[in-house]
Formats: sequence, C-alpha cells, structure tokens
Amino acid sequence: MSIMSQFISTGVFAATFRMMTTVGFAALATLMATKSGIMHMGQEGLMLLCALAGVAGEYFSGSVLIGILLAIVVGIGFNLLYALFVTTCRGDHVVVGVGINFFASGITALMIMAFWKKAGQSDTVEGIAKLSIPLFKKIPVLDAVLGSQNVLFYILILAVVVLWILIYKTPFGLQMRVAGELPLAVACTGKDVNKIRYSCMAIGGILFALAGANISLGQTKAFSKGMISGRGFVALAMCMLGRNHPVYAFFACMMYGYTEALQLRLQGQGASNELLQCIPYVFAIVVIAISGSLRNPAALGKPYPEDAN
Amino acid sequence: MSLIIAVVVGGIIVACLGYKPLEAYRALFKGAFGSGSGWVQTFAQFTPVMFTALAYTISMKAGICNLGAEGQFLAGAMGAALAGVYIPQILPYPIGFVIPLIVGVAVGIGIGAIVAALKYFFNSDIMLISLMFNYVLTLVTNWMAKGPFQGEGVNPTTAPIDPSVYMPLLKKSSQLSIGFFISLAVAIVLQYFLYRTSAGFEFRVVGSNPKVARYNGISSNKILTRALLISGGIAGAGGAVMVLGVNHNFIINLSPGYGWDGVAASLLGGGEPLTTGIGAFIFGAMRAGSVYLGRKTSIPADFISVIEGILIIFIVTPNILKGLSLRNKKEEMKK
Amino acid sequence: MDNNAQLAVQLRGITKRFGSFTANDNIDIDIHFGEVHGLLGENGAGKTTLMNILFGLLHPDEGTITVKGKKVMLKNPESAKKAGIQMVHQHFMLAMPFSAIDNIILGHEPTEHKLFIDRKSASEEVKKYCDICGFQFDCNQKVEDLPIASRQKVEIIRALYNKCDILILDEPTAVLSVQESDELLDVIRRLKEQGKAIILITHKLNEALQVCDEISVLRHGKLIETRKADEFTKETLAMAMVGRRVLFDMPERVNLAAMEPLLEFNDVSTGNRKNDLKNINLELKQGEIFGIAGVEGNGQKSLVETILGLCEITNGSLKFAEKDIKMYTKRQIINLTSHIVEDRHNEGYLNDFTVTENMLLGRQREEQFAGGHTSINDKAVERYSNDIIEQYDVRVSSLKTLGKSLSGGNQQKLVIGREFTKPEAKLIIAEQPSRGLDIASTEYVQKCLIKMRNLGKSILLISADLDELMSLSDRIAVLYEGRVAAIGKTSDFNDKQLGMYMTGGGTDER
Repeated sequence: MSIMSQFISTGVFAATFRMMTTVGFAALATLMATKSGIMHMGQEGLMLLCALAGVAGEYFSGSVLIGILLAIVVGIGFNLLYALFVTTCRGDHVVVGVGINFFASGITALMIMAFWKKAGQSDTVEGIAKLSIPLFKKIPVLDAVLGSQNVLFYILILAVVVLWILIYKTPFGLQMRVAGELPLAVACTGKDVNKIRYSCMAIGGILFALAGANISLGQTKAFSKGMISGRGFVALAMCMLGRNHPVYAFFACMMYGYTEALQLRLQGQGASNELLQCIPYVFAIVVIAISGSLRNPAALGKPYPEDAN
Repeated sequence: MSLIIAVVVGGIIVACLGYKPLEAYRALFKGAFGSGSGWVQTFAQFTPVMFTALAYTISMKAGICNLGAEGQFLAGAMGAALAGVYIPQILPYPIGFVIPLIVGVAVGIGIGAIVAALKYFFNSDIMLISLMFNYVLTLVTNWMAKGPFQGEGVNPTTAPIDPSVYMPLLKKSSQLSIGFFISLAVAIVLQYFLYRTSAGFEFRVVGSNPKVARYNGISSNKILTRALLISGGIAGAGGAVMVLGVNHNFIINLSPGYGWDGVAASLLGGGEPLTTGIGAFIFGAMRAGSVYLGRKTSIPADFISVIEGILIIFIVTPNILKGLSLRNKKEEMKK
Repeated sequence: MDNNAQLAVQLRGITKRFGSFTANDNIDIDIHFGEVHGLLGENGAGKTTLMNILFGLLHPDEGTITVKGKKVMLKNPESAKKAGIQMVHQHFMLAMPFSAIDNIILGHEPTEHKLFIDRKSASEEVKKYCDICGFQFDCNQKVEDLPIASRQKVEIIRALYNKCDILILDEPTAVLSVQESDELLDVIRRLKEQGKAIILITHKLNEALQVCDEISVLRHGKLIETRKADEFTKETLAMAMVGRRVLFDMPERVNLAAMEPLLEFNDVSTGNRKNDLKNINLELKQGEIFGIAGVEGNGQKSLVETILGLCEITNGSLKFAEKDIKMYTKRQIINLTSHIVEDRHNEGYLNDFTVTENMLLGRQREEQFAGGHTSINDKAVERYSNDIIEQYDVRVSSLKTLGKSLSGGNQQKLVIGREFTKPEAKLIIAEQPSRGLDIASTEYVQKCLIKMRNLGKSILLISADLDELMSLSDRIAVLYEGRVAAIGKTSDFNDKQLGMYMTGGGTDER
C-alpha cells in the first residue's frame, strides 16, 4: 500500500472510530463538568479507576456487564467526590484534579498487586466483543469501517445526541449552563447551584466509566498500570477545542482519533515509532494554538457562593 | 494536621486491599530517614522535584498555569546530555559541568519561548499547550536516545558524557550531587527576585490582578513572556542536573513523572519559592522511601502516589472539614 | 393618588452594618401598591443596600419586613420572588452569552412533555409582557449583542415573567439616553396603572419628581424624610439629599489667561461607542482644577484611559506637556500623573498585598525605592509608608496588614497619599476622590486638591458630586455621550444647567 493511500483507507477510518471512543467519552464527561462551572483536571485518574473497575468487575463475576456496571458505580462515586471537594469544600480545581490523578495511579497499581498478585498488569478478561451488525455486512465499505467496532462506539454517538438534547433543549441544561456562566442568576431563581453541579458530575461519572471500560474491556481486555497515559488530557484539550459543545467536541475527538489511527498505521515502515506517536499531540498543539483564546464559562473554577460566609 | 488525616485515610484505604499500612509507613520512613544513605537519597530525589516545582511556582506567581515542566525538564536533560558528548570540553572537572548545564537551561528557555510565542501571536491557552508539549518532548527525547543519538551498545541511552563534565557528588557513589545546592540557590534567587526587587514586584502584580497592572504601567505581555522563559529555564536546569549528576547520559523515560511531582509539591508548599522546598522535600522523601518499600516489602512503591494524592487535596483544600460540617449546618438552617 | 392604597411592603427598623460602617440605620418605609416610591440619596447613602435586603441578597442585622400584610424572612432571592418582589439591578444580572429569552425564563422554563423547553409558549408569554410595556426586541438575540437599553428591557420582562407585583429599579436611567429614559418612565407609569408597586432608586431629582408619588430620602444610611412627591421642590429635595455640608470658602480663582496648557485635546476621537470620545477639544492649563461633569458612562473612562495611553486615538491628537502623548512610554505617563482611580479593586489597589506594597504600586521603579536594579530600599519604603499613614490619616495597625483588611475610606486615603506624593507628577487625575469618605476626610481631600493646585499642578476632577465639582473647579466641562456638551468657567454655570447638559438637554432649554 502506498503511503498516500494509507491516509484514506477504510482501515484508517475503522481505527479512527476505535481510537476516538475512549477520548470521546472522556471529553463529554469533561464538558459536563466545565459547562456547569467545574474545571476538571482529573480525567486521567477517573479513567484509570473506571478502567480497573471494569476489568476487576468482570474478572471476579465473570460477566462483562457487571464489569461495566462496577465501572459506572466507581465513576459516579469518584466524580461526585471530586465535586464535593471543589464545591462544598471550596477546594482549588487544579489541586483536586492533580490529587485525584496521583491517588488513582497509586491505588490502581496497588490493586493490581492485591487482586492478581503480580505487578503491572492484570489478568486478561473476555471484555467487550466486537459488535457485528448484519446490515453492514451487505455493504462492504460500511462493514470494513464499522464492522470492527464494539457497542460502545455507538453508545458514544447516542451519548452525544442525548447530551446535546439535555444541554440545549431542557430546563436542566439551561440552568446548568447559566450555573457555569453566572451562578448568581441561577441562585436567584431558587435553584441550588451546587446541586446542579453535582448532578452534572454524576452524569460525567457515567461517561468516564464508559471511557475507561472502552479502553480496558473493549480494547486491551486487561488493565495495566498507567494505561491511560495522557488520553485524559487529550480529552480535556478536545473538549476545550470543541468549545465545550458535545457535537464539536465529538468531531475534535474524531480528528484526534484519525491522527492516532494514522500514526499507528504508519508504524513499522521506516519512520521511528516515537516520532509518529508525536503526530496526534502536534496536531493538538497546532489546532489549539491557532484557535486562539478559548472562551470558557465565566464562572469556571470558582466556588459558589464566592465568599465563604 | 491534614498530614495526619491523609496518612490515616490512606492507611485505611490500603488496608482494605489487604495491605499492612503500618508496615508500609515504617518502610517508607526507614527508606527515607532511617539511615545515612536514606537521607542522601531523600535529598537526591528532592533535587529534580525542586526544580520542576520552582518552575511551576514562578509561573503561578505571574498568573500562568504552566504545566510543561516535565517536557522542559527532559529537553534540558537531552541538551545537557548531548552537550556533554559533542561539545569540546574546555573546562576541567569539577567545573566542567557548567557548559552543558547552560546548554540545558538554554534548551529549556527555548521551549518556553515557543510557548510564549504561541501565546503572543495567537493568544493560545498556555495550560493546554504546555501540557501537550510534555508528550511531544517525551517522545522526541526518547526517540533521540533510541535513534540518532544512541550511544554504543543496545541500551536506549545516549552516549555517556565526558567525565570532565560530571557534576561533583556530595557523597561518593550516591545520586546526590551539588545540583542539590543549585536548586536551593535558585529558590533563594527567586524569592529574592519576587520580594526584594521592583521587577519582581511587578511580576506579582500581574499575577494577582492583571487589570491593576495595566493601569499602573506594567506590561502583562512582557511579564508573562518572562515568566515562561524563566520557568522553562529552571525546568531545563533540573533535567540537566539530573543528567550531569546522576545518570551521566540520557536514558529513555528519564523522568518518572518529576513534572507532576513538581506541580504537586508547589501546591503543597503554598506557592512561594522557599516554601516550595517543603513540598519538594516531602515528595523527595516519599520517592526515596518508596524504593525501600518496593524492595523490602510486598507493597508496591506506588503506594506513595496514594498518599501524595490524598495529601495535596487535604492540605490545599481549605475548608475540607469545615466544608463537610458546613453542609450539615446548612441543612439545619434551612429547616 | 389613592391615600388608602393597599400596603405592599413595610420596612421597620432595618439596620445593616458592614464591620464598623453602618449602611442602613433604623429605616422605616411604607410602600403602596399602585404607586411609584422613589428612594433618593447620594452615592453611598444606603439605597442599594436597603433594596438588596428587600430582594433577599442581604440579611438585615435588625428590623422586620412585612409584605402584603405578612411578616417575611427574605433569606434569598427565591423568597423574595415568592413574596412577589423582583429587582432590576444597576449592573444587570444577565448571562451575557445567552439569549434574552433564555435569561428571562431561567428557572421557570415552560416545558413540553415535561422534558424539553417549550420555547414557543415562552415566546408568546414574553411577547405578552413586551406588549404591555411597549417593548420590541428580538428575544432570541444574545444579550451581549443587545444595546444596553434593550438589556434593561430584558431585565424588566424577566421581573414581569416572574409574576412580580413589587418591582425595584436600581438607578435604571443611569445608562440610558434622554429619549430612552423618557420611554422607561412611561413604562413605569404603565406598570403602576396595573397596580404594581414600584420602587425607584435614583439620584436624579427631575426624574424622581416627574414619576414618583412618594419619595424617601436617605443620607449616610439614615432615613431623612418621606413625603409625597408634590410636597417636594427640587431645592428642598436636593437639600434633604445633601444636608448641610461643611463647605469651606471658595478658593481663590487663579488668573487663567497666563497659564500654558498641560493637556491639549485637539479634536480627539476614540471610536463610535457611547463611551468613546468624539471630537474632544479641551485644554487643561497648569495650575487649575478642571472639573468634568457627566453621568457615568459618557466618556469619562475613555478620557482617562486616553491620557494614560491605554486607549487608542483614532482621530486628532493629544499633547501632554507640549509633547504628543504617543511619544511617552506608559511608565513615563505614570510618573507624571497622580491618578486617584475610580474603581480601586480593578485599577489601583491590591487586596492580597500588604499596605506597604500597595503604597508602592505604580511607584516601584522610583529611584528612592528601587535604587537601580537591585533590591528595594526597605528603609526608604518604610519611612515613606509611615509618612503617608501619618499625613493622610490612614488607619492601619501595621504595615504588614493585607490590603483587604482596610476599610474603604482608609483604602481611599492610602491611594490618595500614594498618588499625591509622587515627586514628578504634574497632572492629577482625581476620579470620585471623596467617594466612601466621611465629611472630615472629604474636607481634607478637597483641601489637598486645592493645595496641589496652588503648587502649580493641574487637576482633572471627575466627580458625580456636583457640589464638589462646583466648589473646587476653576472651569468645568460636561461630557455627554463622549462629546463636550458644555465648557466654561465654573462661575458661568449653575447646577440646574449642569444637570441639563449632563442629561442631554441642549442650550435651547436655558
């Protein structure tokens, strides 16, 4: 295959969708937090915890569904904990994010040892199977691109749509967005700003769980130490690139997924692996740089009410 | 106070997993402080973290969240590693390290300059860009060590640097070099700069309230650029010190996360150059202790990350206990 | 006017303190439905504080509030809303990037199938209210794209949408043009006829007398008197607001002809927005106090920022001490200018820095302190700080106290002390210099200004206090929508005329 054709082969697109799912969920989770006023820096930690929960859940119960459910519980739990620290306890958002990342990296490594008595990687599990839709088999192109996806990719698309409706078409969505912009206005209508933020983080927790589950149960079928390795921050970047909008963030993640798929595909053909792996990040830098200032909700990072009396 | 809570909470959590927290803490303590070599290791691990922490601190003082210390550290390290091999050594040991050190600092400043330029021309978001740069620089330096600049043999490292540029050690056969004192010196210089000079005063004004700065003839742009350059230089110095004093070459994955340790240490220390040392000390001790922990017990060294995470959240979150009890009070008031 | 109109609100004994400063002191007021009740007073008299209490944003330290016959505890704006009270704030409480309709329906969104926002029925209801008021704007436009007058309409519609029967308007015409103000007064009359109780906070005498049925006057936190509007004249109303002030003698007027100009504005324009300068021709001579009168937002900010070099001149030229302003660096201008800022917290004061550091702000590069590029000369700084504390009566316990711990008055005194002692300053820009100060301190500041003037400095005095302007200034210019509406010797004006120019009335109404 010539170099050029590798850029637009069906294989690349299939890989794109595979690569973007994890980051996509994490970006959606981040934007739920951001839009309501919480700056989320702990994506790495959340995803690590959920990824491990997914594998552990399946390993000990034998059912992949239980694994996913456990991941969801863990995701909601820790995301709400994050919310607690930054809203009620008025903690600095960056600190809590960094703290959770540290904590998660440590505790997940300890858990590998505790559960599987070996260092670095858990035992493998069945994980999530590829979803094969008969309809696609009739159309070769579609089959080539979509045939190897697992169900979570489709759930991602569903999530984008659901979130878009939630955020822009429902009362909760309006209140949540104003909570991130001018919480005083929300408070004056009698709604509890912090309750709204907690709810958003709970939803975000579910999304983080799916992100983690996708990578551990969906792709590698095991959990290894530090496996998120930067995807969390990429998700943060994509979320901001997408101006905190579910649809735009989705496409930003798709572009990232493409660069990631491309770099994987180009490996083993002469250019160094490391340099290839730079491609997605360089892409991110270029896009972020030329985007100029990224406007975030005005009340991002500030506790409500601002003065603690 | 928060330290105690963090320790207790951490202990409880790992106990649930079947580990013995007391054993862990004892091992950590022993590893860090239990012997002369323990202390040496503590200070040795303190050094790189101190550099990255100071880099974060000085940026924060100017109001920028520069998370790129990890990448700048590695860039500086590579710079020094290459300078130590390819630049003719004109200065003898023990001052030979000066030139590669300067190269390392310059490379760090260079990275900072790129970020500053992007900010200047496009008004890009510094936090995100510096973050992404970390990954790029990690990959690029790893590539350089495995690829074009690989030393002899099969190891993924650069060629060993000329012995004349080794940084003198404070204790033979240890990892503690005079870089330790350099890091302290940098902290003192920064503290002096910020609080004893007019330029430093302006720095802090920009970090505190850019609008006030504008009204008082202080150019935010200039100060932000300077902050990025200084920050990059300090992180680069940290990397250079690591190479010149400890490894004597650049090995892939040189940094086990010193960048993030630095951010955490700076936050722990309260964001001032001198107090950052306290945070760096804690992290240094943790790392030193963790080696012992991993070796002598069945508890993985990652335990320290658990404690560190809990620690920084509890120490830096102002009303954590107040917050939890405040919630109960609010419920009562509403009734 | 119906003397037996139903009581809407009764305030009894309302007292509110902020530290040692009493913002509201034992206030009793009755508000009736179907009436417009004016709340008048100078800046800092306590009007907004009182209304924030009524709206639930603040809690009174003492006193009771009765709404429609029932005693209420207004814990938060939600309680106020339940009681039927809504407020249109002076600084709008609108989420800028959101559409007008989103801001209006926030919290009470009509829903379709209990899930989705029913924008259609929302628009219909909003249109209903717009028709009542005679408003026309596109609800779907983002608030940040709407002109200020329209933003205010959005706030009013929001209040109506929330089914209020008691509406508080805080300085609503402060940001409106004459025509827009008239329209607003019409709306107020219409709402009154609907039976609503309207509380109008304002410091504009004409307005109050035009539209109010009853007026309460506040001064320094106390209620001075409450009367039916037709029992007041402009003079008696002004007297009630201002009280008998300790005014010192009119200072000696300098002989203006002989002085050279320090500042020369030659046909200066900075843009097209309301607050931009347009074809300003003005000269500030040396050794004079030049007063700038005008309602906030009519160009004063642009005037100051242009002098400081922070605002681009699109047309014309500005000369500072005979040199074009563009030839100066910003730091040089700072050295030559003593600037008493209007908004300390965004322009001239640092809450998180110590008292000493605040004294250094803007002056950190001076020879005496910086001594080259090495360390700050602690002794000199300390001596200087103590001097200012003594001379300008700044009450602090220690030099290391953080800025935020000082009372507003002391903060202002610190700023004044810092600015007035700049060694090279030729120009003094004083914006609202006595805001937040008690009478004795105000007198002191004004004496300082005179002293500076007599020393040959030039002073640009921007003040909302017409008394202050007229007693201190040698000459006065009125800014209206960025243009000089009137300019001349102080003795050529009386406050009635100034008021007219400030609100857009022309020369034909003299």
